[in-house]
Amino acid sequence: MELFEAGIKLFVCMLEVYLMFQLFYHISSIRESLTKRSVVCIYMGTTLLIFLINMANNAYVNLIGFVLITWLSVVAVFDMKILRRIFYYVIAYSLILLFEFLFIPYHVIEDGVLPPLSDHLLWLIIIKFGTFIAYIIVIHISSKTKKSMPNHIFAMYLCLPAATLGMLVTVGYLGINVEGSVRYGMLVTIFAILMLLGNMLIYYAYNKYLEEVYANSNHEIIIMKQREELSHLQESIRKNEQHQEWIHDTGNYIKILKKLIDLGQNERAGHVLEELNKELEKNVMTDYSDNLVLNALLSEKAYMAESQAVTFDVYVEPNLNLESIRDMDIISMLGNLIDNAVRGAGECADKREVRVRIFMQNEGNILVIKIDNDCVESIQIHGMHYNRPKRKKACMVLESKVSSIQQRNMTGIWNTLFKTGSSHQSYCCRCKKQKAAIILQKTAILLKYGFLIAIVRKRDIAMHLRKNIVIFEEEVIA
Amino acid sequence: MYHILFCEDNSVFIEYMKQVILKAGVTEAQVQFHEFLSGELLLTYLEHADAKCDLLILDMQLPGMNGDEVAESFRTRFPNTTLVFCSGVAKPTDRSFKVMAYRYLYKEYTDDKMLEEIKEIIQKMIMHKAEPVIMAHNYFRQVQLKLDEILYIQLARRGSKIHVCPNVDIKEIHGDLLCNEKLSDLYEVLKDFGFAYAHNSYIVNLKYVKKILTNELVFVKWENETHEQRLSVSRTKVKELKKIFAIELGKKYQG
Repeated sequence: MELFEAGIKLFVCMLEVYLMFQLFYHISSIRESLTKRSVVCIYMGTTLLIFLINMANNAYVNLIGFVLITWLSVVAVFDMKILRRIFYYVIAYSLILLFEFLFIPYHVIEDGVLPPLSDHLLWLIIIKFGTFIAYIIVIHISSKTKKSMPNHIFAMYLCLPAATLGMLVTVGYLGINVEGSVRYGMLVTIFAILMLLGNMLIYYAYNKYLEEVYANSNHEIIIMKQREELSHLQESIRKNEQHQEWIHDTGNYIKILKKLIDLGQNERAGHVLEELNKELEKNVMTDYSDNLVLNALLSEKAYMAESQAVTFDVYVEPNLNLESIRDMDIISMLGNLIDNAVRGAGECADKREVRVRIFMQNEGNILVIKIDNDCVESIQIHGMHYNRPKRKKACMVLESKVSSIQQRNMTGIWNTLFKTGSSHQSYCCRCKKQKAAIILQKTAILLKYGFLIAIVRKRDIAMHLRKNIVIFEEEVIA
Repeated sequence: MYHILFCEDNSVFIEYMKQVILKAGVTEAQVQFHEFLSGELLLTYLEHADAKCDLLILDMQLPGMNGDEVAESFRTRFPNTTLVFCSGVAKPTDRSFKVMAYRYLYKEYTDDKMLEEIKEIIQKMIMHKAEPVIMAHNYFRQVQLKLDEILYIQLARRGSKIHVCPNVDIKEIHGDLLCNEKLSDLYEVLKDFGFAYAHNSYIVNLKYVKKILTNELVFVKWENETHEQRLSVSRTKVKELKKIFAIELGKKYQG
């Protein structure tokens, strides 16, 4: 039995140090000079020292020794500013102390005296369970990484440890007498430990899963970028072939011209020259921008517009300041806007034209993307990663259509882009949270970079997307 | 009369551009062309007190001084005149961006494209020339301010107070620049030229606004400034201000 008790106490010491290390790991970073092995050694050493102090059964030594050893180990392992370190250490230590008070009411009520906590193994596990929950809440609130769980998922997860803790506390307060039977006492304690470990493992698994999700989305981004580069390469090859063909044709024209001039047929030579000029204009190499990704994207869209018999008129002002914008954002947002504009223009009977102008304004501080088409039909919008949703879920419309859509109870947000004349685009989407979130995210990113986004009208959707709306209110430039 | 200056070493291209300009909305009677085959010749002309310029079409690759150097010297004399860079091969650099050229033209543009671009450039030149000027005074000294020189105009006890851009150097005038016109009267004149109310007490030149937040706007940062200037925006005006700002930003490339 003594060995069992010692084992439980060692486990509790390991847990306390582990939780404290986890907290500091999430809010700071491990010192660069330390290897993984040395961190493990410090952890083991700290645990062992605290265990030995515990075994001494002296409250004062325990109190001072624990603070001293854990503080020194935190200083040794983690690299952070002193005030911040003190602040978080106080929080960490307070939480450990706070949950020990759970133990007091039971014994005060039952016996009138407070025996050492370490004599009640089940309570020891219950208290550490509570500490674990408090720690993960603190970690979730103050974590430096963006890969932490979203709040609502974390809240859902918390139901499980909270329920488990509730069960254990109830069992503890009920005062089930297991002291008479060593075997039952051991079993209850072991299962309580397993419950604690199970909850910790679920938390770990959740986080691992999220990391996987983030890694996958990053891979997707890389694949998309590679796909764009590949399409750029293919486009270059296609253009090169066209260019070779044109050189060949031009050679023929020159030979004909020479022949006609030799024969003195100047009028026919003039006609040939005109024809040659037309060919020249048609075959001007289109190099929209020095930015490789932007150029590839515009070339691809030009090809797409050509296949839909839509005139695609692009002008990108030289010397754009695109350095701060991620390639992925250019591809997803600009690509999406142009896709919609082309699709819209493609549905028109006449004026099948899309005009894209990208330029800097206000002393080079604002990048403006101006996309005009003369579409008057309502057209579909596709969300992130070029997935086309069903028409019922979301649509993209012109401003004139907004009122009719609102009458059909399809309120949402709409952003008027480039409100210049009759040919501007607006977003309108139904109260489908996910879809609206995508548009809001995109718009927020656009705003972050100082793109031109005009009036933002927010309605019911704000209820669900307060965070994004705040971005609008703080960052909106127009 | 519009004075259009060419600084270009290729006289054939100058002739071509003249033809395009005359097709773009101005007649021969309205325009006077000045040709300079090098940057040095242009700068010598600009040194004359009576030198006039409404539009400069500047080649980026010139013998002697290059386009960027010429543009920088040009800007010291004509800080707000429409400047257009023109190039066959050379790409604009950060340096050329600083002189705030209105357009960059490539010589290989097709006739239609070139005409389209020149039309807008001519429109800009005409607009710029038609812009009103504001007469401001500081005690007994009077100064004529172009709109590009004004950052914002504030309500004052008698008339209004004008705040000029930090890069504008008004010689021999120290202290506040005042105008006898009321703010509301000035707004009526300036609303078509990119000015808008940010507050009941002032109208701002949107050309120099970097961003508009919920309760304040941020002006662009000037070279000699350590911090960006900020102005508070009235809650009742912010929505309209953002709308006008969006329209102003989208005005370029209207054609």
